[in-house]
Amino acid sequence: MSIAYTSEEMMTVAAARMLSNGAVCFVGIGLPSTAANLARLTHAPDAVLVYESGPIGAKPPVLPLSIGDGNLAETADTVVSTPEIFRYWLQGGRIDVGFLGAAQLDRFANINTTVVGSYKNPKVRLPGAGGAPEISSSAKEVLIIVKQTKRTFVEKLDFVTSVGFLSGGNSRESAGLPGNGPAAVITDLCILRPHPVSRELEVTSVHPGVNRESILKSTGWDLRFAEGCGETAEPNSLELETLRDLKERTAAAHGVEGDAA
Amino acid sequence: MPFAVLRGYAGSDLPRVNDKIRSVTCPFTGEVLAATPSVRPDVTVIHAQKADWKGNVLLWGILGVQKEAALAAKRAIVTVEERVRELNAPPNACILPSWVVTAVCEVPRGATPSYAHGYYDRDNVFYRAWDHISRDRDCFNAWIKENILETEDFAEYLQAVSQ
Repeated sequence: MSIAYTSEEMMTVAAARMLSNGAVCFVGIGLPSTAANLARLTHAPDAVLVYESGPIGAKPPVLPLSIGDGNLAETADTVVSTPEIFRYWLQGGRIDVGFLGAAQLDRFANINTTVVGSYKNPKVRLPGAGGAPEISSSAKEVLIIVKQTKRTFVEKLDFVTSVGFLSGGNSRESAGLPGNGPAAVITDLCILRPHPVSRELEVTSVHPGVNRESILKSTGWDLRFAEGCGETAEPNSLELETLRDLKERTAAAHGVEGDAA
Repeated sequence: MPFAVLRGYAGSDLPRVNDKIRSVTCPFTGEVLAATPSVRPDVTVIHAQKADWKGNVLLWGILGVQKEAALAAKRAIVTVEERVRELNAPPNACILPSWVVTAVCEVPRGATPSYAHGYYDRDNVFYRAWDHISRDRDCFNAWIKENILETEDFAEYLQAVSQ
């Protein structure tokens, strides 16, 4: 009998599984940080977590509230300055995986984290680029973790903050970006990967209990399912217990109940 | 130097809306890169852990751009947790020599409600409360009035925010 779990837990676990042991991973705060730390605490103890504030090899006992949290520095192998992390480590080609979130995403995995609506008169002003444009350009590959709805999975981005495969095909290579671009997008419903030629995202694995119709209804473009699209393995008890412990410890450390993703 | 070089803006809409992001061609490889102008503040204020009696400043932990910000400014003011006779720092420690610092002020708990690495932790409950305080203009102004404008000195501010 499997343990009951939420769709958000499924998403975090599926994202964590993507990180291989020993991978050097540039981590964004929020869902990417949760997933990367879950990976570190389960199958990938030697994953190297890099935060843009400068900690390299951070092993935070609880999830950080921000990139400036002291426990990132205390547990890191080394801490460098922010200019150094970008110049020598990220743009120097030392990062295997960039782990990003998104507010909007299109079929070629380009990301918007700047505005909803027009730039001059936005409906919503989002947190902004941060280091994401550099991460999406220079990390060898990129993983994106985002909840899937018609508002996030859009036909056309209101603003392109960080690039995935631009207009598809070989347009990313033509733009001269050194990294290979998004390897996978992990949502609360499924896993999507870029088609090898067109680079358009297609569903390669559907989470248990999710039907194809609901994935299509949560997507703003005519999404395709890959040939041989399978089903994601359910979270196992170790993954779930580790994730729940981590979130509980985090909530206690931050002086709140729950809501510490 | 007049600018920094970045690779992240190819294909992004950011250069379209921000004229501070321009491009430069590498004279060696021909690669077109993004350039952003340097920032030259009149004054930089940072908080650090220690200063010795001469005013040499030692800081550690997550440094971000604090050293760069101090060196870029015409004047740099540093508040520190404590003044000590000797810094006793290893050779590669991050030190701002006294001659790049305009003034050092001893302000224990000067990073409150944030943290000073090795001295005290951040007030996480306050940090979360700030999301709510800063979301609404009236709420924000009321907090500033009560805790900043109407407190006599730093000691009184500390007492106000620790309640």
